[in-house]
Amino acid sequence: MRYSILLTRVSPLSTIQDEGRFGCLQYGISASGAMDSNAFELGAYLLGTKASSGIEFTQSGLDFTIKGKTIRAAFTGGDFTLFINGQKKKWNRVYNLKQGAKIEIKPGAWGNYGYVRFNGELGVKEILGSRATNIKVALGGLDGRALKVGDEIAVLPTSDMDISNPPTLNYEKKSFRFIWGIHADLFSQKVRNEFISKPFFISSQLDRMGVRLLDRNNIFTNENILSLVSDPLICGDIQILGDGTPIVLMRDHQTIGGYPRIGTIISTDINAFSQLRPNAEINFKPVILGNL
Amino acid sequence: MNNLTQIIPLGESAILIRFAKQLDEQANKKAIEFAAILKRQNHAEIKEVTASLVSVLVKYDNQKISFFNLSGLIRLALCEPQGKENNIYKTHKVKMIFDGKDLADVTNSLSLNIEQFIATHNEKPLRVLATGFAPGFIYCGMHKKSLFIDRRQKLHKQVPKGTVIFAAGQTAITSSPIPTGWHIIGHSDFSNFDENKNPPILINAGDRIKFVSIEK
Repeated sequence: MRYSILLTRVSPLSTIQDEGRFGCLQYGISASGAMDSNAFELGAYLLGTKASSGIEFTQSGLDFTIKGKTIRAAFTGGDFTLFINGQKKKWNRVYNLKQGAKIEIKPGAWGNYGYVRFNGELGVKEILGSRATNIKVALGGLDGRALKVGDEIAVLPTSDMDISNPPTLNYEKKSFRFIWGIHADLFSQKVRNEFISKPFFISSQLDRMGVRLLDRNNIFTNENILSLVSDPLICGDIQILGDGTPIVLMRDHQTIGGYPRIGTIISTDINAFSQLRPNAEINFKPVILGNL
Repeated sequence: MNNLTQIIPLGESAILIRFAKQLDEQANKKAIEFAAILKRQNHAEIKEVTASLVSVLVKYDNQKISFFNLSGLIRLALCEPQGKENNIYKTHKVKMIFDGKDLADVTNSLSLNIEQFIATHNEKPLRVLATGFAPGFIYCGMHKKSLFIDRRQKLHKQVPKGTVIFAAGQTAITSSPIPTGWHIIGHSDFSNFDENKNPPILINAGDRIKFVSIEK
């Protein structure tokens, strides 16, 4: 008998992810990978598995049943409530899930992304060295698409591996560290000062490509720096769109862009940032490279 | 002075080497050549090198090398003689049909008829200035000044793969559906992206493209 799970309730834009698809920027493909890579890594640490893939679900959670033999699973990510066969269980833990077990993951008070990983690789084909899904360009995961009810995903036994250091999680932070960007000097001193002294708020337009910010203090309202030559983009870049909207580029970003970038959030802070819900208040804190 | 080479941090694990602040063919050639040099040198600390229109992105492992040391290494690599990589570039013929919905707008604003536009557009092979933006996307240029036209005011929300688009002295071919502010001048059956191949693209930056107009 094989191992597999059957999805019975799926939050929108849930996908199969891994650490990411690296080395493909020149083909026009960003790395993708788990939005909160710390929480994703915690799953592998708790399981002690070599398996690199897992399911990323969004705010409203995920339900599934176990078809086939008993498998071990780790549940990590934002604040969610886990029920196994109707019994409430602790989050950020590993459980043995027997054939027929019904798993329900219900939404909690904070966070946008949660993860379930198994002691086995998810049975989807590797595309360009990765199982990560990029829905926007229909690549990877399960046919390049979001998961849906009725999807049955095989879990392929993978050997165990001790992982020595657990990732450090810090979801308390409101201040996000960034390094001044390639176009910072195109903004006036006043704008740059306000950027680091006044708050911004997470808008409701957020996904795996980018998180738009609300600029309630109108810091960038009159900034429209256009006609820049396009340069390569990276995850964490803070771009100011033509209408003055700041957007933080996330893991499924386009690989080249021409909007001005005032800074780049450092990669360790992007994980907690990805879990912020609409209206959360944040500040930007400039840091220097030698001092991280 | 406009084209001083700059080495700039992009976050804490990437560096941008910028050869110009505006699109410039010389800077573009430098970027493509420099990316090839860095790849050939094959530094263990460097995770990824990718050339864009006038810059090169280097992603690195900041546990293995500091920004300071990597900048020094890049400075030294910038002194390597360029031009060695020239023979790796290929010329590709791409068949296309000039039937795009913005073609009339384009020819009108350039004061050309469609035949004249096609003849001028296809006159000589174009260089592939960069790949990237979206899967398999290619930027080709530069056209002669008489074919320069600004981007559209209004964005096309989505154009299908195989769309040939035109703006700012360049022609581009899409290999996946994308939104674009460029003018649609035609389409091609050619796709520069096959996810089941590695590498997934056939045409690379530095290659040349000869557009050939075919009938429907």
